[in-house]
Amino acid sequence: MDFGPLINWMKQSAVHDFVTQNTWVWPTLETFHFLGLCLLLGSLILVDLRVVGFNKKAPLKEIHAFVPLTITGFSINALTGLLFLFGDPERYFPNVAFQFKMLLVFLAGLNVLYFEMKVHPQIKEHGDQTKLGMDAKIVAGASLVFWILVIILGRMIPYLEA
Amino acid sequence: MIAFLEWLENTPLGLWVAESQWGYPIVLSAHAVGMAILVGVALMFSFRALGWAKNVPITSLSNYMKIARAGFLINLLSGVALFCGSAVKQWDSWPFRIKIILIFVGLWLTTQLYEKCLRGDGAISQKHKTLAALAVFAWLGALIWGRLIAYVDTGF
Repeated sequence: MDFGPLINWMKQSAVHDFVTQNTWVWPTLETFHFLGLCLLLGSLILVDLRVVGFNKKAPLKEIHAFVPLTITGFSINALTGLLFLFGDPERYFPNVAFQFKMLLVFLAGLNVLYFEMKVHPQIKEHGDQTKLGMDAKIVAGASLVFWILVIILGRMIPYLEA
Repeated sequence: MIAFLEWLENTPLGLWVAESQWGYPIVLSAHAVGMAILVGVALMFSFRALGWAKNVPITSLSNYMKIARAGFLINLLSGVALFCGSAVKQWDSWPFRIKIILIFVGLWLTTQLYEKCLRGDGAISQKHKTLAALAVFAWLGALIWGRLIAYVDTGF
């Protein structure tokens, strides 16, 4: 896939100038990106570990109320991540760690879709973890593994430059 | 002091972090994961105390403190390793010093919230809410100053 035209378009955009020509922008975006990943992983730890079977004293149905914080964290990181991409597209597109990270974000996204469409209805139906199907536990466990790998691959981007 | 810091940099751990190809990125990745676990769970405790997810009894979240502690352990170990990799520079860095202080403050506040509220009778008092809000600010501050270590050069 040739990203050349996309890279050129990004580099000529006003967003690119905003991100690269103000010294405070990049560290500010990074700080928000870190905050976003804390919200995302922190809320998923509560929800996913409960579905897997940890901490049975927390009510299974109600703990789903933490999911909007996951979505908030993801939104912050999608936005700040997109701004990084506009700031330095030549660096990110060819980067192996970045490519794998995006693949994993995509897989984690499919996993979320499965959770919301197939697992959440089971939770709403009986609210009892022991009655959840094996798919629920696998999806919840995979969610944590995917997002932790996403964090690791993100941190690896500067060290896997092509 | 400087002799001790230089000694740290010359330990096998310090050299591995500073000079090997994968030492630094591996430890840095662990530090990011540990941060997400510790700060993530600590923020959830605070948000619950401040009124988020009211239908989840706050005392039912106390077991997650074990997970937060595991995150802290990952970051204590990876943080010590990172420090050994550039001990002289870190010691002189004001953002680093402020970050460490804020981490102690955040740990103290979150532990207080855990002891007094998550392990309490389920009631959330104004004092608990104050602890929760201050903890959010301490952790946010630690994130901000941690990031600034890479940008602000404030050696003597």
